[in-house]
Amino acid sequence: MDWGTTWTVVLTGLLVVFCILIILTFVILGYGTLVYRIQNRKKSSPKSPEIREDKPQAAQPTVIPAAPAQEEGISGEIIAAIAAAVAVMGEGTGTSYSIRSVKRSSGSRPVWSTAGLMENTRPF
Amino acid sequence: MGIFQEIGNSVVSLVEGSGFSNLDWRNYVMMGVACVLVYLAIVRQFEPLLLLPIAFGMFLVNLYPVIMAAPQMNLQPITEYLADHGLGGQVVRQFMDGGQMYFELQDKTQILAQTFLNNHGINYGIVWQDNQIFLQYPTQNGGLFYYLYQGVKLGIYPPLIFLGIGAMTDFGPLIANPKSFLLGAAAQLGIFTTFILAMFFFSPNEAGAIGIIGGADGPTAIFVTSKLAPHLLGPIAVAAYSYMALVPVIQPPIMKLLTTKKERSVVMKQLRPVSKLEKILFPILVTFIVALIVPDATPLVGMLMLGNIFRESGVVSRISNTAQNELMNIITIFLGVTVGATATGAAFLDVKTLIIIGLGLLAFACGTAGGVMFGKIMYFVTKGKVNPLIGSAGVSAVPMAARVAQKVGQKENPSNFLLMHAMGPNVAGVIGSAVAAGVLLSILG
Repeated sequence: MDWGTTWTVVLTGLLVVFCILIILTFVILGYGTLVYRIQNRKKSSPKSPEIREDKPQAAQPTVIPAAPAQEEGISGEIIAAIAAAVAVMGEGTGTSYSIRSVKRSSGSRPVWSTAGLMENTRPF
Repeated sequence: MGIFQEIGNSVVSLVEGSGFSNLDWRNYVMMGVACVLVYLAIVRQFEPLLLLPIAFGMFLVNLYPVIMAAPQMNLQPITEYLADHGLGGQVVRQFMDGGQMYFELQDKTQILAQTFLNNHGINYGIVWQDNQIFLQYPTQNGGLFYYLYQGVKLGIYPPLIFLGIGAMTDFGPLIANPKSFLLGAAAQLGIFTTFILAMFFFSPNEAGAIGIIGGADGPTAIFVTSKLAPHLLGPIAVAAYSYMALVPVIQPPIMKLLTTKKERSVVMKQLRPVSKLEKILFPILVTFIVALIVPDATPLVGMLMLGNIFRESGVVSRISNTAQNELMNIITIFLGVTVGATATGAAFLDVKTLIIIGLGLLAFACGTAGGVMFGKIMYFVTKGKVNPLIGSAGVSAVPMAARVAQKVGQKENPSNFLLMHAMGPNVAGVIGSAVAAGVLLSILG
C-alpha cells in the first residue's frame, strides 16, 4: 500500500474538483445575476420592480400548504411529471409557479382532447 | 476407402475447429453469467440500453473468442518480399537516416522505403530491425469486435455518448441554483474513498479505475478504465451499470439514516426562471474553465457541453436530434457489445472481480453519503432553506437519483416537490465526475 500516492491522489483530486466547481458556482452566479437583472430591467418599468419584489414576500407564506395537496391514488411519478412540466412552462413564460394541489379533473371529455380543442380554437 | 478417409478427416477437422474443442469451463460459466445479465436487463429492466448489449457481447466472446482477436502479423525481410514480387533487382541498398527508412535504387536515387512500396501497390507497414527493413503484413484479420473495440480503446465512444447526453440535458435547474455544484462535488467523495480502499488490493491505476465507479457515470467509468486499467473494463462496466440501476434501492436507506424527519420535510423556494442567453453561455463558460484547469477532462466535458449548446442554441435542431437519438443509439450498441466482449472467463472469473463488485457498492454508498452530508451542512448554513435530500442526487445517475430524492422527500411531506431542485446537483454531478476523471487521468495516466 503506497500511502504517499494514495493521499496525493485523494487530496489533490478532492481539492481540484471542489475548486473547479466552486469557481463555476461563482462564475454562473455572477453572470446569471447580471443577465437576469439586465433582461428584467429591459422588460420592466421603473415602478414594477417594487411590485415584483413584493410578490415573493407575499407568496412565501402560502407556499407551504397546511393540508396534503395530493389527491389519494395519484402516484409519485405523476406528481413528479406534473412538477417538471409546470417548471418548464414557467421557464418559457418567465413566470414562477408553485403547485398548491394535484387533483383529478372531473370532466367527461379526456384532457388531451380538451387541450387539442383549446389549441385549435385559440385564434377565435 | 480413400473417400471414407477423406470424409473422416473432414469430420475430425470440423470437430477440432468447433467450439466444443476450443472452449474451457470458464467460457461456459461466463455464458451463464451473460444469461443472468440478459434476464436482469429484459425482465427486471436494469439499465437495459447498456446492459443488454454488454450481456450479449459477453455471451458472444465466450462462445467464439476469435471475435475479439487482434490481427496476426508476420515479419518478412523486405529483400525476400521484393524478390518474390519481381522488384528485388531495383533496390540496391536499404538504410536509415534521421529516423526514416530509405531505399537506394539502381540509378543511385534515394527514396523513402514506404513511398517506394506504396508506388508499387504495397501498402503494408515496415519496421527497422537487425539493421534491415522488415515488411509487416497481416496473416489473419482481427475479429469483428476487435475493430469496433478501437472506439473504446482510443477513448472515442464515451465522449460521443456525452455529446448525446449534453443534447438531452437541461442545465436550467443548475444555472438557477449554482450552489448545486457544491453538492455535485461532495458526491464525488465516493470516488476517492473507494480509491483509498482499492489501493489495499490493486495497483494505483487499477484503484483509480475502480474508484471512478463512484461517479455513477457509465461513459466516464469506461473512459477512465480504458486508459488506466483496460483489463478491468468488463467487471467495472458491469458493476457500474448494475449499481446505477440499483440507485432506488441503494440510496433511500442511506438518505434516511443521515437525515432527520424535519430535514427531509424542508420545502425549498421555487427556482428562478433561467433565460435562453444564460443557457447558451453556460456550456461555453464551463468548457473554458474546466479545459484550462484540467485539460484531461476536455474530451468528456467538451463533448457534453457541445451537445448542450446544440440543444440550447435552437438553430441546429437536426443535429441536436441526431446526437440525442441516432448517434447515441449507434454508439451505445458499439460500446455495449465491445465492453461486454472484454469479459472473458480469464478476465472476469477472478477473486478481484468480486472485490470490484464490493467496492463498487461502497463507491455508490459513499457518494450518496457525501452528497447528503454536504446537504446537511448547507441546511445549517442557510438556516433550513436547503433540503439535504437533494445532496444524494449529486451522484450523476441522471435522472434516477433526482427521482429518488423526490420520492423520499414526498414520503415525509406529500406536498413537497423536490424534483427540479434535485436536478441541479444531479447534472452538476455529471460535470463533477468528468472533472474527477480528468484529475485521475492527469495524476495516474
